[in-house]
Amino acid sequence: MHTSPITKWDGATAYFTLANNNFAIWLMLLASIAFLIAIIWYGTHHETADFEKIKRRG
Amino acid sequence: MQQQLVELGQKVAELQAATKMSDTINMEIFYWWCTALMITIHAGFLAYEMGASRAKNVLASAIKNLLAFAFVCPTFFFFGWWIYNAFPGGLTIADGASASLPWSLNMGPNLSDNATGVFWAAFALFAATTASILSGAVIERIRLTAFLVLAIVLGSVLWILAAAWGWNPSGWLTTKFGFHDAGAAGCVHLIAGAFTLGVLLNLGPRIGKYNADGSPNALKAHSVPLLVVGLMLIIVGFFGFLGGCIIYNPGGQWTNIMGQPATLSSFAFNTLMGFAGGIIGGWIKTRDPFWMMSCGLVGIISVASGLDLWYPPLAFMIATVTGIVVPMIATWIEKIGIDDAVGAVAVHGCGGAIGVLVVGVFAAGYPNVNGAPPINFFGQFLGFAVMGLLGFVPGYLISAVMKSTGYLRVPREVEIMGLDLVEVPIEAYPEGMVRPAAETAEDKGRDFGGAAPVPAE
Repeated sequence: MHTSPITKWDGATAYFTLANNNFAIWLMLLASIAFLIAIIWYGTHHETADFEKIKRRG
Repeated sequence: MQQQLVELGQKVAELQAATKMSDTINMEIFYWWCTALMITIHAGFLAYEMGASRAKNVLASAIKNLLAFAFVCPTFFFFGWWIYNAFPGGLTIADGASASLPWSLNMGPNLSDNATGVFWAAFALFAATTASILSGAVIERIRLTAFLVLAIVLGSVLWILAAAWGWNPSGWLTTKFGFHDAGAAGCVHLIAGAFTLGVLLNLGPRIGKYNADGSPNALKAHSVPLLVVGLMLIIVGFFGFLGGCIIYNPGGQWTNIMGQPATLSSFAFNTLMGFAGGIIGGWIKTRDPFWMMSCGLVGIISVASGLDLWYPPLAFMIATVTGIVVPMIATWIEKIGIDDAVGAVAVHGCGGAIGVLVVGVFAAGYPNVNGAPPINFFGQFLGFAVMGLLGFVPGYLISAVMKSTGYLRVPREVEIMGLDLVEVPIEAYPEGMVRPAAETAEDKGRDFGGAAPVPAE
């Protein structure tokens, strides 16, 4: 996958992967935010399910 | 002759450029190692929380602590760093803040910007430290995901908003009121302690902490040695933390984060004197190594706001008195029914408040820069009030909403069984220890340390 925004080091500034691709930057950013939210949501449901199991077991 | 002058000029220009680059790289190196040292704070909090937990909750406490760090770092990237740069004037967005938005070209590898990454990293560690202060107080009964939400709010929103206001050369508390908080006693410790207090009021005490008549029981730490070593690691990390509080200006004198001239030497004098004074204060009051180390920590916190200013013996005395007073405050907090498992409200909240206020009492009159007012008691009191409220009110309200939806606390059965059995796939101590869940004693609870019987209530 070709993600380099530069072709030479002379005069390079921001050189991180996808730095010249606004769409990709936003995609990565939104994906990582969505991932964190999803993890908390999933964790909450996972916890609740475990707690219910413990309660049922007495 | 003309040619020689031209060559000399070129050499001087090359030398200047090399010196400037060398200075820039030195600055990067300085904050890099400050950040690395600050990780030790988290090693300390990890050991401290595990030690303070009973055996049935050790690993759940570890997971909570590790995830606080892991969730605060990215969220601080997403919005925390921007908050710091956007809101020094209050709630209006400052010019130039867009460079700290997560899609800015400064927020990633960039050969024209050696500063943003290391400053962001140091601040991210401050943020994780702030969240970890909450972490210890709520062990053994808070829901993991509820804690993570609270940690994100505290670590990536609230403290950094307070820092924008009072720990920033353009912060309105500093520019309009002369607020002085060189070592972040207010925007890290006070706000975290106040937030923690708000959460604890809704979270409630651990089962077995209080008897029917309201008298408290000691829910003993399962490993005091681990706890004490953890506290010492936090102290080691504090040197990185406090180093990160001072601004390295390549080619010029250090300044504190509000922009006033300072030296790293001043931080060295007063950090050590504060640490020593706190330990002695804790020893005088308690003779207890846990409190001696906690008071060493609070000794540093109590002199943190004026770390760049104190005459070292004055710092020593402030820390000693604070070290005597804070265990008394912790006892009082326990007596009024607030179960703070590690004394975070007393150590960080009260220690931070003392740190901010004593500057107004003993260091008034120090001049400011850029036309801002000199240090004065009103400015310090205002900073104390703003940061206290900015911590307490959201902490109380958000945890109240969580409580009302049943999201804040684990069910009673789970708490009695121990969080490790429910949340962790491995055992902390598989050999030689009785698993608390196997015990069903209807103990009213006097001593629940280690693998001792679990109280019914």
